[in-house]
Amino acid sequence: MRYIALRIGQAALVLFIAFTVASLLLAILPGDGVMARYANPELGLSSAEIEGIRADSGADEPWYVQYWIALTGFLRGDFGYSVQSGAAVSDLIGTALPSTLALAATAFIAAALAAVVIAVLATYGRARWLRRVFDSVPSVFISVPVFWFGIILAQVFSFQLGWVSVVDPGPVESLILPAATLVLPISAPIAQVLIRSIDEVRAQPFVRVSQAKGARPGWLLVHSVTRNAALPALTIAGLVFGELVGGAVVTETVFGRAGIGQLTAQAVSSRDNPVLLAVVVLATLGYVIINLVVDLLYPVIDVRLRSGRAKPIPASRRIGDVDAAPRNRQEVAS
Amino acid sequence: MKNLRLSPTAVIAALIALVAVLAAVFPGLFTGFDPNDGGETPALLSPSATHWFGTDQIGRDVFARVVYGASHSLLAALVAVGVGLVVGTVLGLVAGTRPGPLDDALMRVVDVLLSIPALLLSLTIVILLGFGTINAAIAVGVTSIALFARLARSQSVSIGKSDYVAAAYGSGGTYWNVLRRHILPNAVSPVLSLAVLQIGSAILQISTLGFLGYGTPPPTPEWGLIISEGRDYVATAWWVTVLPGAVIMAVVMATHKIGSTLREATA
Repeated sequence: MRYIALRIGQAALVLFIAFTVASLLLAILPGDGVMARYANPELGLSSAEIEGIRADSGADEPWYVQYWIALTGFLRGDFGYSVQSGAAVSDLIGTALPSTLALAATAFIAAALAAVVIAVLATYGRARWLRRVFDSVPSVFISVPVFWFGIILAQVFSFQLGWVSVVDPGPVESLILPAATLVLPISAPIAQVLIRSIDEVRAQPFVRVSQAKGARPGWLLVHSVTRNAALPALTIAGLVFGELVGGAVVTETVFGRAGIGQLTAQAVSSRDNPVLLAVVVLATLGYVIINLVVDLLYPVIDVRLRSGRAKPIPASRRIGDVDAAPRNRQEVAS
Repeated sequence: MKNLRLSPTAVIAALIALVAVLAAVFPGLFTGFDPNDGGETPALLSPSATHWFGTDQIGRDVFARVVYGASHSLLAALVAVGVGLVVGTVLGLVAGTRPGPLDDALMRVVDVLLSIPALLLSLTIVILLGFGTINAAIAVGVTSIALFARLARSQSVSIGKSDYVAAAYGSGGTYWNVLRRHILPNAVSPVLSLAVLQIGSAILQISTLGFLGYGTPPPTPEWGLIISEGRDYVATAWWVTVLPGAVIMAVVMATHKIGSTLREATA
């Protein structure tokens, strides 16, 4: 119980610091979204009118008052207004979120399936060369520029072969290529973890015992090895989430697909800080929640499956724990 | 270093990296074409013996742009890795050798850096600093601070438990002296091999920022920017996009291979 309370408190603290730093840097200290937008002489606003707008939007308040307004606003789900369009940021995000969630979910499922196939071939492939080829697949995948791969997929599958339309496609059709693009960066870390843990589990005595009792390789793979090896994959949930967020920005830009990623890219291009701030805070919230859930879940699952050899690997990126599962691209590459 | 095992792939990787470094330092060795001025050359020529990677939409030699782009992309990657290496290592060493509130505070900072998805973190920094090669490089560097800090901390914690550090303190060594003379030299090699491993990732992240339009402004031949400029012509002139991307991929794979070879050697 104490552990759970501690972990929740820690997660809340990290989220709070992230919000504080990001909001101070993005929204409050550079301060004047209002000036940036309305001081343009072409709009012909007098300085008194600008002062009026600043007073209405709270931009003339001292920074700690603005911070308090922003903090209480975020807690209520009110993320302020876009400097660019004037729309409420929560509306912009609400509109963009479903399409990004659909993309992320599709890409994740496809990537997880691809990762299982890669890992099984890399460890149980019949020929040595086959195993070696698939063993190196994660490090190749992680080296591909995602935006470049997306452009090539669009070119080959929609313009050359005409299999998928990118011009006015249906809802399902429009998902195929962006999701396929994301399979590369998402499946690489999952496949890497699966390969490592399949190798580890295969060496365990209980697998030998099953083997000696006459278990066929296929049965063994499904019932003993994969089930145990899939567990460590949980530890990289946070990494996968981060890759999905970054990947959404890139693929939605490449495929001109509306969503959080495109909203983010536009916000950066037009220096629309309130929108970027909201996306950063929500993404951080997502990351923190995912890691918290995995952290709390892992010991629960592990106790039943523990074979007495391994201590549960906490999923939080615990300091000093660099050898566990790959938590970043570098470790996938190596 | 005595554990260094050179596989054939590691040798190929080293050669690719060598060519990339040479191209960055002496681009004139590889091409006689001007990367920014195509002169009278026709646009969108397909690859040939003269124009190895063809020409782009305004007649510039794509190979020359990739060669000259190496200096921007590699320099930016070095700046990025340098930022992460220096800041992260200092944070990690201090945290690892000063248990207690300072360690806790520094590691919460690291947690915060880790909890913001890397691309969003670099976009936040870029929007603060403004667009440009060096700013994009710094932004990418900030995303790797946490990585270096964690590694340096775990190294210094384990070194700090060793007898020679206790002996150094016992014989009157001051904190900074022990840190500088004993802990830093012993922690440095895993940290440096992480730095090499990080170069490839930095190249990718910087080219992504360049592609999105937040890095080097045109007409500078930065790798991500070359691909972004060529994408409108990909239907008729695949080479402007495909070949520079293949170069990025080859260089990134090479640095990854070198990094992991060094890492195994120093582990």
